[in-house]
Amino acid sequence: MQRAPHLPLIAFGMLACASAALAHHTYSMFDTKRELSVSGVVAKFEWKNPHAYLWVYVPSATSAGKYDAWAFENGSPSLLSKLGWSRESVKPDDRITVTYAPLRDGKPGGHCVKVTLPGGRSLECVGFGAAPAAAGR
Amino acid sequence: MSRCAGSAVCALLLLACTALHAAEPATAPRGATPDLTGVWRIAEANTPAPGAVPAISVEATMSKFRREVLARFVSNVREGRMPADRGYCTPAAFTGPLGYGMAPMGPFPVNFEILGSPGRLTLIDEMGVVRRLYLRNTPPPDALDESNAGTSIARWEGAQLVVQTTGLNPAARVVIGAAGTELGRNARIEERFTLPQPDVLQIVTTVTAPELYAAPVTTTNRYRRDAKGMMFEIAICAPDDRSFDQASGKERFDATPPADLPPPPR
Repeated sequence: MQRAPHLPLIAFGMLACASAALAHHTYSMFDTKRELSVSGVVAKFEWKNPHAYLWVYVPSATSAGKYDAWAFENGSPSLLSKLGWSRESVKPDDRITVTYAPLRDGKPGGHCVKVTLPGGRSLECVGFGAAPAAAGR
Repeated sequence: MSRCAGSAVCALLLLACTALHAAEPATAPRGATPDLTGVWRIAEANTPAPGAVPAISVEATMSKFRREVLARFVSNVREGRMPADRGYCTPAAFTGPLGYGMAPMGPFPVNFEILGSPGRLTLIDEMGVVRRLYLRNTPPPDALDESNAGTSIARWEGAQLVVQTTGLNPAARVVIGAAGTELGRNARIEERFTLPQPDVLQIVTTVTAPELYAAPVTTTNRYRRDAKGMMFEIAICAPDDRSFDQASGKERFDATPPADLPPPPR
């Protein structure tokens, strides 16, 4: 059989796809090269598959006294539990700071990178493309 | 990871022989056998030796693909048959059986629980795959020729549990959702379970899959017993997943607040 040039290289390039397959999706909607932070009040923490979502009320930048609901995606409860998360890690009305990779479309939210809790303790979020094995380390 | 070296004929002969003979108990180990029951969480994935830099199992797996398998896999990705940009709820994206790929014997180790009962250990992983390890020398006479978890028989070699798995579904995909990564016929898996420490489980897995791999693939994964014993379910297909538009199968992020979001602070 004739070996296609650069086949191994291409194949290993596909590893990213394989990892993404495990991680459920490719995260292309997030600008994973940027990290921003925002502070606000926890509105809701959805502890569910395939992703946990954190909803945070953030003071509006355009309307004084108003709040915008920001959405942050995180990993699955299984992966998050390995990072020390539980369904009670954040509670409504907690004042937190979220470090995140912003949405490319500019909407309020992104993929969670880290959450700093009221007492100053931080919880890492599940990384991009984290396979179950990788997240277990 | 592994299976009986024979063909379907071999499997049928094996079953016929089994039916003619009473079940043979596996060789009883001397002294008490280690207690493998409990919830096991991934501690180190594919570590060839303590202290070594862990490799991601998928790399170890793909590096052993047969050349034509690799070419087919690349072609499938290029032509969109490995839908990395689609949710798993779409038929095109998630049609393969969920057996081999994610179970502890697969290349992507997940957490699992071991339950003990007379003559059997049962593994349940977080993806919902159930494996029954029969403590006997031959497969049960009623075992299916092929199934997603295969048929596993186990024996104690001293303090080591050796598990042989055959009868694996040849259509099971090693990379979930990725056409072209099917396990193929005549695959067999050998796993060696040991407890290097009381609450550390090491599984050395060797997969022989002649239609998929150019050579047997061996991975070593370590798990830590979870005293709390909490098992999660992992589900990758959810109709209300904000990551995918299930109508189009495309990735997106739906930032529409849920209907039950409490009102903002005053």
